[in-house]
Amino acid sequence: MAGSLAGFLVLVLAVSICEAASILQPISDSHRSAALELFAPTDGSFGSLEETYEALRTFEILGIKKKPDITTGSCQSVSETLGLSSSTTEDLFNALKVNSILTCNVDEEIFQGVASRLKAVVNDASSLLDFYYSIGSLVLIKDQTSKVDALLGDADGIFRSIKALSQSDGRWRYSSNNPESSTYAAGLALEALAGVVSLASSDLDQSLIVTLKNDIVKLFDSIENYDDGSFYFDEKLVDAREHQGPLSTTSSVVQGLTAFASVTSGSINLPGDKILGLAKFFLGIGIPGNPKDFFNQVNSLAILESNRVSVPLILSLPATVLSWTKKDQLKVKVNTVLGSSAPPLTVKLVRAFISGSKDSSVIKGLKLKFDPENAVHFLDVLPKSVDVGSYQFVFEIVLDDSVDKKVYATGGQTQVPIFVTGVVKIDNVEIAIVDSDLGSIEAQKKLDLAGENSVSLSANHLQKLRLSFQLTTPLGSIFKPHQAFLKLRHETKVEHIFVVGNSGKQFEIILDFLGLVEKFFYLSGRYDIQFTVGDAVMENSFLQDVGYVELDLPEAPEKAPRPPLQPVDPYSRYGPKAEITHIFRAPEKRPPKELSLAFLGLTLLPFIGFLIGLLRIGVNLKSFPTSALPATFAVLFHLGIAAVLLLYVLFWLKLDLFTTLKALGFLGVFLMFVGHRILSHLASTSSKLKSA
Amino acid sequence: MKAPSFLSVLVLLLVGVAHALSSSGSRLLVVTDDPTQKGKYSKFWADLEGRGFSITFESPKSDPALTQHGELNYDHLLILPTKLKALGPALTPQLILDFMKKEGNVLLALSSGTTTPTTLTSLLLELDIHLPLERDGLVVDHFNFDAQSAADKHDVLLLPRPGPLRQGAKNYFGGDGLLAVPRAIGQTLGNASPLLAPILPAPPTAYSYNPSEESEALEDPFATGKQLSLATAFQSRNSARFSVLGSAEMLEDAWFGATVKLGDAGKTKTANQEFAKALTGWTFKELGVLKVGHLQHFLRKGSDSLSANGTEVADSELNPKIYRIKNEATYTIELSEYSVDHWIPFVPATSDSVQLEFSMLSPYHRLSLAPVRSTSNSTIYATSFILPDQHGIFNFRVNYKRPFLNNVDEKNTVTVRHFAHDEWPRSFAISGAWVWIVGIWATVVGWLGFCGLWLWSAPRDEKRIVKKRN
Repeated sequence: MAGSLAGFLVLVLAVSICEAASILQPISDSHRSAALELFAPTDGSFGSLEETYEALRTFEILGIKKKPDITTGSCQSVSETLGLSSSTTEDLFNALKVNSILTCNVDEEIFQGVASRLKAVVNDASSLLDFYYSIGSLVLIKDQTSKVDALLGDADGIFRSIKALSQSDGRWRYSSNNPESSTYAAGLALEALAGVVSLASSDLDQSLIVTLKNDIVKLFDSIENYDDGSFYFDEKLVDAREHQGPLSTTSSVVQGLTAFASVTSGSINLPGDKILGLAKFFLGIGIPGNPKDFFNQVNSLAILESNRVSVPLILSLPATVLSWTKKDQLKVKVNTVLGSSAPPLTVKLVRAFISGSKDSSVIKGLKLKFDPENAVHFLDVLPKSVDVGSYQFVFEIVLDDSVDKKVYATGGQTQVPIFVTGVVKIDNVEIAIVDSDLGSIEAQKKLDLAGENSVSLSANHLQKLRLSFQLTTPLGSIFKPHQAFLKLRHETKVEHIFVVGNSGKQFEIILDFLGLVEKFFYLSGRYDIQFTVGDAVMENSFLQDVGYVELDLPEAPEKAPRPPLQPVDPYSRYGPKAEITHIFRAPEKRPPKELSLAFLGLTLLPFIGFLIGLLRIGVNLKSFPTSALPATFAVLFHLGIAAVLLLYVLFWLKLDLFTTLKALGFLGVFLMFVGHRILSHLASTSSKLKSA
Repeated sequence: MKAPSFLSVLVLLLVGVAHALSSSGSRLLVVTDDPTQKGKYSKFWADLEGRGFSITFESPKSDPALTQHGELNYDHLLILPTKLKALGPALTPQLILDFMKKEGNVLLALSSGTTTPTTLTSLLLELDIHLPLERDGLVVDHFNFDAQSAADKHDVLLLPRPGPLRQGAKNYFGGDGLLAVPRAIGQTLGNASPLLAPILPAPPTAYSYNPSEESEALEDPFATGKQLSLATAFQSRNSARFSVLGSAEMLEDAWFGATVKLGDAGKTKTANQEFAKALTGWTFKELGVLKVGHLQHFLRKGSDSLSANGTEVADSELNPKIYRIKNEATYTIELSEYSVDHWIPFVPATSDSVQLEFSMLSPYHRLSLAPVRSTSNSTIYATSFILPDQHGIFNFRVNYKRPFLNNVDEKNTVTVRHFAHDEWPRSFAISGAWVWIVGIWATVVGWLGFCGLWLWSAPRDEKRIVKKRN
């Protein structure tokens, strides 16, 4: 339980903190190219003087030669800032910092004026930032010109007034009326106090310095750490307004501490592993993406590299993966944080054990040879006891010179995971169909995984499929890969994956189809067999299509589960659907036109016959009245009838019933009248005729 | 009355300008419990800010409120891995789902190194996305790993940028280059949910296992191969988007353009930055957002061209409420797609088409719409068809749902009536009726003629008849 927990922790760390502490690499070329990308001037300048300083300082530390040329522009703004009487102490501080790198041509008089202004500020200052900027500026003036007197008369007094802002836990307040204490402020205060010490015209009261050293030790009590041995400072009170992240807080403390250590004699009692832990913290960040963080990281590392408390040494490995086939050498490098060479030392391989098993050491107490040409400690050949696998190697740095032990922090033992990879031999690959009842082998095929394989097998649900193989390491012992899968894929793309288990010497999987029919959804047919063996330390992980097995499974019962939708299918639900066009009802069948015309002719025949008949019997209109009045009535009567007929035609074509009836009413009356007149006329003529 | 309306227009305009960059707002809340995390993703933040997002960082401990008085406080939510066991009362699964119900978008980044909080696993379960039971599975692939950084554990997968999900689906995540997926948690997706789609499926040789198990050989893999999804998209019915990225490390500065080495091939730069852009762009609705502009249907007269600009069809004749069966109708719809910061004409993927359904309960017609015109920021799709010979209440419906595109479901209800009594063909138009018509008129004319003759016809031989009588 404890072992697995420890292993888990190791893994979590390895994953979360950009590789565990032991695989940290010192600053390298990737930092340099990142720096050029991050600090790219826009329009020939970096914006503010602070940013200019950060860029210049980073380039200086990393030794970048091909830096953008901004000297003229920056120098101009430096002299402007220094010359202006309205510049704040912060501006002056930044301008002087830039000047410390560029060494522009600034008049002594200007320095003189600035120095006197700053001294006035120092004497009246009450807030920590005022002290920090003005004292910092004075220190810079002192460094840049020897002719200007930047020394402080009342150093003791100033020291005390800064010290008055300190808290009992080693942290500082920004000003006397601000009760909140801050770790970031502690760093600023230490740097300011270091400045006071270096500017003091006379020796300071030693008791002040002793108490301050105790404060520093107290401050280091509040240091926080990650489980991988890196240490950092963080603000306890998270004030949203002036919150400094752990990086800038730690950077501030490191600057303060080292500045103070460099101006005082005697040592500050700090454990070396904490300093090493701070270095690990800065290195653990990797390559920050913004210029401010980048500067903080690089600047702090540079300060740690040359500090007087203890210089951290970083043990790094060019490669933690060693190939057995390529006969890789185990190489270890020891550098300072910026990648420069370390003092003469010996690297010892204290012990090595297989990951996950704490007790059995594979190697014990080996000294690594030193190759001065490449500055690499190396082990010629891996001992015979190291086989393919993952190991934990424990290294220890032993400094050759005992004087160096006080200067450098090596951090005791360092545990590094080492992976030894190699080609694993695969033998005795057999695939067979076995009868369930008798255990007799029906069909057996040997596979040669180096070449192509296409096995074709067939089985029914009463049989079993057996696959067995053996893996051996280059040293001849049994190898157990992490991934050993057998995949069966049906024609319908339903896949089944089986993990091949191991039984001591060999790997074997037996698929009893009787028990698997339900899992196979009763799908008979061809199953392609794919075989995968893989492991992190195996150089020849392979994936091979072995062939296929033709399965004859029983019919599915009613309630059998249906094969699931394959991952591809669900996404086709949201696709274009088949087009639909409405099928219209077929119109009723109509007779062809010709037939209609034929019957039309037939219908007209009686009419025509009637007309012919009329002509034959010799009809005439001889009794049409000849006198004017009855003739008029007769004409009107016929016109009326024609009008009624026309009305019927209109009714048929467009008129509605009401209009028709109305019109018909009028026409009817008219017709009645004229009809009566004409009929009476006819009646009278016929009676006249009779009587005659 | 006029002043306030002018003011509101001004306010609307200003809001429009402020939200100009994503189609659904620019307020992004990033939930992370570790301020140092922020620095690791600086390029990612710079990318987002460059695209107009205003980012707010909150720790789950400070209980950031997603909504206030029923209104969203943020438009988008990004949750980075945290070491906390749960995300606190302000970020419960229910609240995050409510946030999505109000069309908030969520991007969830997981990491194999940190145990996923229970809040997030239960949220994912709601969406039918499953994480390994131990909540910190690790995806490894012994065939596609970065030989540069993960030669030891094979847990940095290198895979090409994903292709389209299937034929005819738009691909917003594809492109050139390799993606480095360090230390990912694989997800498996429920088969039943049509709202889910894998953005980045794992290669067939990958598998997920529990790294805290110490056994040498794998006994029970969580999932293998294509079952695993390294990044998953979920789009709810209201088109709120939710994506899960199995590897938050992918978004870190260190992996943006890092050099990697796949097998014996040379070193290449990763395309993680472009992928992150596509992923956030999709999730935060800069990509794959559809908008429906004018939507018109009208009676088609004669053989005029399919036009929807109203120049050939009078406004009064647009979108009538009623049609007759067998009318020929034209339907047009204007579709635009949002592309990062502006609307462009929408063009469906090849072998895909926008379809119109004319349906009463079930579709009577389902027709593919053809693009007829396109303006600078929209395409106009149209089709003409003859309404079915079935009267009733019908819908013109464009139900366009595709993976990675937001849902378009436009319904216009119209009545389709039967023929009026005077709309049938007249009898004389039907040749079969001619017989009857002629029969009638022949009778009428014959009868009238007979009557006339009977009235006025004088006997041919009057004297002879008279003589005979006598």
